[in-house]
Amino acid sequence: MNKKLEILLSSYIDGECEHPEIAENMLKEGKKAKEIYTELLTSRKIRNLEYQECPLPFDKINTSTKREPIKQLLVTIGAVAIAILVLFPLIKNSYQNHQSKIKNLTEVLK
Amino acid sequence: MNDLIIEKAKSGDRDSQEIIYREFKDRIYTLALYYTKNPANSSDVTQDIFIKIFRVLNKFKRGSFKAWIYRVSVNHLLNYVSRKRTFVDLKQKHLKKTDGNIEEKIAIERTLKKMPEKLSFLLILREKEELDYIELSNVFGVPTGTIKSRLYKARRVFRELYGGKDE
Repeated sequence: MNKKLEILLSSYIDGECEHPEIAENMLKEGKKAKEIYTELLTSRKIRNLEYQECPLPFDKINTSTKREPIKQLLVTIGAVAIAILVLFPLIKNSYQNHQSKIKNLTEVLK
Repeated sequence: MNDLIIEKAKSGDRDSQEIIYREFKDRIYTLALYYTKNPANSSDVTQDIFIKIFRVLNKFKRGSFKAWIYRVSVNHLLNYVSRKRTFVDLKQKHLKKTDGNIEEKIAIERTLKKMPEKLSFLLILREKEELDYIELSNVFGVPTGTIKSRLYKARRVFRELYGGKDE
């Protein structure tokens, strides 16, 4: 059978056929059309499947996006604070060492 | 789905979001169950899908809300499948004990498993969710003519595999 006619039968099953009268005539007159129609109807068995109950509670669907920037900001502030606390004494020491080296050098040059 | 609920959900109203969640959670979870390894994965995927749905809800303007929900879900699941390449072999433990014709249900699920994902999604959304051609066209981003021919192909493949002609 022509593939176009088979597609027409498939859309007839869905109630979306533009020319249902053609499909109806095919089914009235043709044994082959009836066979194909019955075969295509096998997919209706999918309707027998049942929904499974989703165990996921709604509160697991956390869509809060506003908290994320705040969280990120806090993390950044924390990181900067830690960096300053750790690095400041190091920088300070290094500066003082540098100053004393310059001082020593100046004395040597004198 | 009520437009007011959708609008409220867009503005972040949790009660409205919960109404949407309750309406679709089992459908999406079941759909995910076909394509994930186990219920735990399916729960994770469902969670990801809903988080995405509520984050991009503002992009929904008009038309079928159901189709829009499935569009987001199908895209997410297709990405998931392409990454994982696993399609669950549904076992009896996933089915309710009260199911009458359990063998037939397993056969249907195994048939869907053997099909290319895009065709099985299409067939499930048409047969189980009863989306019309325009809605399906929105879900898959193709013209209704393509949906028509793909559905025919999907039915053909389903029939062949269900009938055991491939074995």
